[in-house]
Amino acid sequence: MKKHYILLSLIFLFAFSGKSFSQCGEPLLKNCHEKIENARFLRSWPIQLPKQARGETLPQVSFKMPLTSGNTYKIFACNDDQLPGKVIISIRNQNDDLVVTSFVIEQGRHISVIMFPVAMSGIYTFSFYFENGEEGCAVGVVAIAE
Amino acid sequence: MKKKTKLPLILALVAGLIISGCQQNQRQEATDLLYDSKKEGELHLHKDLVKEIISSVPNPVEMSSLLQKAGVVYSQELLNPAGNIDNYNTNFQRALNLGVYGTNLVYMNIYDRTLSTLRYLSNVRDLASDLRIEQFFDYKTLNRLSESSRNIDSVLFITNTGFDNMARYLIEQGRSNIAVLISAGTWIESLYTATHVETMPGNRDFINMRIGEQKKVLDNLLILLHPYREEPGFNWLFEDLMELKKIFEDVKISYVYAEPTMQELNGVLIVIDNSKSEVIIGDDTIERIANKIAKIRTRVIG
Repeated sequence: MKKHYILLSLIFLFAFSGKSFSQCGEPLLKNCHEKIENARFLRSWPIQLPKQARGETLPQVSFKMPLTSGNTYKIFACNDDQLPGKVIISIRNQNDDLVVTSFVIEQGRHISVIMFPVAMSGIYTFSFYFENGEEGCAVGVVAIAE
Repeated sequence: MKKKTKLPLILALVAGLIISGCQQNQRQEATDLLYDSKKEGELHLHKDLVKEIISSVPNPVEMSSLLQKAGVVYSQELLNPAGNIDNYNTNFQRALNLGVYGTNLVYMNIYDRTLSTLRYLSNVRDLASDLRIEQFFDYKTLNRLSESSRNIDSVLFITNTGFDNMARYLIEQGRSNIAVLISAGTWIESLYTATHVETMPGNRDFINMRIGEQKKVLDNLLILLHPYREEPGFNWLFEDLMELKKIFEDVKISYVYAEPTMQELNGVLIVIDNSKSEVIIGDDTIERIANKIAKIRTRVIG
C-alpha cells in the first residue's frame, strides 16, 4: 500500500510539474543548435525570466554583439515549451533604431528564424523578453549563413 | 659482490634519467598574471562592462567568412607556426597566443583544413591548461569531429561556446587581465590575416572597408587595456596599439540609416537592410595598418 502511495505521488509530481521535463539550459541549446543546419554558429544566449509582477516593468535581458556588413546572419529563437512564455527578440542598431522583432504584431504571430543581411557594420543590441510578461525559458542563437 | 653494490646506483641513474625526460616534456609553470593586479574598483570598469566590451570584439568566424566570401585563397603561411608554442613561458604570452591559435583554428575550419587543425587544437588545449581554464573545451569531441570537414559547424559551436564561457569565467574569477589578452590576441590575428591575404583586385575594396571598420573595435580594446597599461608586457602592447590607433584616425566612417523592410519566406523573416555605411580608407592607410599590425603580431607570436 505504501508503495502505491509513493508511485502515485511520483506520477502526480511528474504530471503536474512542467519543470520536471523542462529543457531549459544545455538541452535546449543543443536542440536549437541543430536547427542552424549549414549556418556557422557564432553565439548563443540562454534566457530565463520570471513572470512579470503586477506594477513592475517587463522583465527582459539585452546583449550586444558586433555584426559586420557583407555577412548574412541567421537568428534563431527556441522556446522551452514546458513554460508558458514565448520569447520575442528585438534587434536594434548602434543608434538604437529598431531593426527587426520576431513578433508580427498585426497577426499576433511569432517568427522563429530571422535572416539579416547586414549593410551597416556596428554593435547591435539583442533584447529578449516573453510575450505578455509570462515566465519563460529560451535560447537565442546567432549564426552566419553560408 | 661489487655488482650488487652498483645495482642501486644504476637503478637510481636510470630513474633519474626517466624523471628528467618526463620533466622536459612537461610545460613550464608560469607565475605571472595568476590573479588580476587590479581590483574591480581600480579597473574603473564594472565586470558587466568588461564582458560587454569583450563581446563587442568580432568573433574570428566573422572575418574568416568574409575573406572566404571575397574569394581569398587559404594560406598556411599566415598562421602562427604551431611549434612556436614552446616559446611561450609567461601567462602574458600564453593568453595572447591562446587568442592567436584560436583564430588560426577558426580560419582553418572555415577553409575546410580540418585535418591540419589537430596540432592547433592541441596548442589551444595546452595554453588553456597552462592558464587553468582547460575545462571549457571538450577536446576529445573536438579531436573526433576534426576528422571530417562535415563537422565544421559542430567544431565552431564547441569552440565559440568554449571561448565565450571561458571569458565570462575569467571575468567572474577576477582574472579580467587574461580575458582581455585573449581578446586582444584574437583581434590582432584577425586583422593581421585580413591585411595580408591575397585576393583579386576587385575584392580588395570590400576587404579594405572591413579593415577600416576595425577602428571602433580598436577603441574598445584600448578601453580594456588602459587600466593595465603600466604593467610589464601590457605597456608595450598598449603603446603599440595606441600607435595603430593614430593610423586608424585617417579612416572616415559614416552611417546613413534607412528603415528596413521585411519579407517572409517559408517561415523565415528576411530583413532588407536599407541602411548604408561608408568607409573611406586610402591605400596608403591600409599599407600603414598592415605594416604596424605585422610588427605588433611579430612581438606577440615571438
